[in-house]
Amino acid sequence: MTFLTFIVKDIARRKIRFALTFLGIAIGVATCVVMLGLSETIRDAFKNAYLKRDIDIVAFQKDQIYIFSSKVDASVSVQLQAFPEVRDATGVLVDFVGYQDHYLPVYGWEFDSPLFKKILITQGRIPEAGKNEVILGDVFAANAREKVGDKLNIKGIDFDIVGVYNSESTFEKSALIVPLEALQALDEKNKNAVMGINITLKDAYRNKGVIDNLVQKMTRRFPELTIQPTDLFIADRAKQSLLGDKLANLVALITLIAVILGLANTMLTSIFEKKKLIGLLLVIGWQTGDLLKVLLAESLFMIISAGLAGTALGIYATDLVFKTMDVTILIPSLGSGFLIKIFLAVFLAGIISAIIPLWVISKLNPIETVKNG
Amino acid sequence: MGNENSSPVVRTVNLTKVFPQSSVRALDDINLAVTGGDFVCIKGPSGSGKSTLLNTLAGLIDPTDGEVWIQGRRLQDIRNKALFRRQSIGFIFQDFYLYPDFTVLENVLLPFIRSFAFDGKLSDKARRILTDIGMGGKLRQNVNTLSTGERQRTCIARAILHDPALILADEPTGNLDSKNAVLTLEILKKINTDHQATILMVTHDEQVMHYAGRVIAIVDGKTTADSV
Repeated sequence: MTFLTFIVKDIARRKIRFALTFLGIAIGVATCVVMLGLSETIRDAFKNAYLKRDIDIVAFQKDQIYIFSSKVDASVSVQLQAFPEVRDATGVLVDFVGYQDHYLPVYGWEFDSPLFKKILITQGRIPEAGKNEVILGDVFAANAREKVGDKLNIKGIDFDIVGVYNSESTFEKSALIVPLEALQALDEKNKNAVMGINITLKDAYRNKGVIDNLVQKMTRRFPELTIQPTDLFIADRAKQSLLGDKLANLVALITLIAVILGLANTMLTSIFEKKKLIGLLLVIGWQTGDLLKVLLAESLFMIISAGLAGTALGIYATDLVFKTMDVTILIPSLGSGFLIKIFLAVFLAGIISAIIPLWVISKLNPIETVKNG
Repeated sequence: MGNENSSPVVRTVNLTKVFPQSSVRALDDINLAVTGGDFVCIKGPSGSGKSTLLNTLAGLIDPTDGEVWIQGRRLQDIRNKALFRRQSIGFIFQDFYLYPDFTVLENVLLPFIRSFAFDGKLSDKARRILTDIGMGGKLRQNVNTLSTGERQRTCIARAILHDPALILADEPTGNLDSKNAVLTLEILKKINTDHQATILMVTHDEQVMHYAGRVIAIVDGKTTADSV
């Protein structure tokens, strides 16, 4: 017989209540995971697409709320490349094409774009300039069962599938990459256009001061563009995500508070119900500290077990949410850092929810409690 | 247990308890000395102060005046009374107060859970004691399914597991039929004889008093008789 046996048996005495509380907490945590997971995935996708690729500055069309609507003359990248601090200025075009029952992002990259060095070709090779060739993101290739050597029809034109790639960016895992000029040729509105230009500086200039000065210099030179340091660009994009960070955080916070109050209420009810037994434990020699230890462990046991189930449920639900979206831009990416944050929040919630019940116990008089309950 | 020497295990000096709500003197200047190995019965009518005396000796009620000494330690000086109870006192209640849905063995071990680690020695000792009092076949049985006599025997095993200096029994036969009452008293007598356990038992049943070596009568909070 240990504290653990006591806790498990004590919980098992109230199976239905435990099941309902467990379910309530699990659904609450799942809601937090979905809400925070959506914004986390989007923020993470932008981070991987830009920061991890050594892109220091991003230029796109001014006054465009959504980056995918941006159109910039492709020749601007040549002019930006002329800045002495710039190592690479490469244009990127993104378009969406219908594929089966949803839309698929297609990236147009310049043949010599350094972006090709940031993806891993797992089958075949990269597309050649001037040819209608396409490489497939590995998630898309697996889901669509398309393979190297097949043809893929994009906006009425047959493209040869020449490779499959793996990318760190969830934007690109379920997408296609074609030569820039091939994508521009598919639609009149994209002629000589790119969505934006990614700029990487020479190593000596890659510090905040130089980047900020250069952004100002470039903005003066190209007033028709919005030019931002990458971290600012990512922060702005995250704000525009499907559910703004603030809304997601607010909903998650409210849900967490509801979980805390629900658990505290369950524990209080349980204490009042077995007050006589608690009195007995105090009379036969349990110290208030022992009871507090058990109660806290019981609260943590309940919230952590339900929290783990809720997290699993949340990951599954996030996956479902992304699957039901018409545009397959993103696949959920809930990293270990995110899950640790969720676990810590759940752990903290367990401690907070035990505070009021702990306070009630600490005030109990053993003999009065055992006599009168 | 095993207080063979004649120094008092329990001593009260002018022990007085006045409950502030009613101003009643539940204990009125009680001076008492109980030697190690004594089996003492405290008798008195309902409301005479018997249970208050027991609870005061256990440190569950603070006296208004006077002193309580247990095994040479002044109770008022003991800061952690819960720990003191766990180490030095065994309780037997009229209503058993067993933890529902727990097994017999778990209930006996309940006061002594100290951590998340399992104490095998204590568990073995509990099995031995339960076997000695005829509960060996019911170790894993849920206490909800026990008869009242078996519940009280479980309660006795819980009270003596840690070899307490003092066993306090509050109307231990109050809820038992005569057969189980006799069995319970014989077990208590055997514990007292074999282990020199000091037992203070509160009762108003004249038959029960025959098992005690000494009877103290309390009326209106005062000791009115003390006979051997």
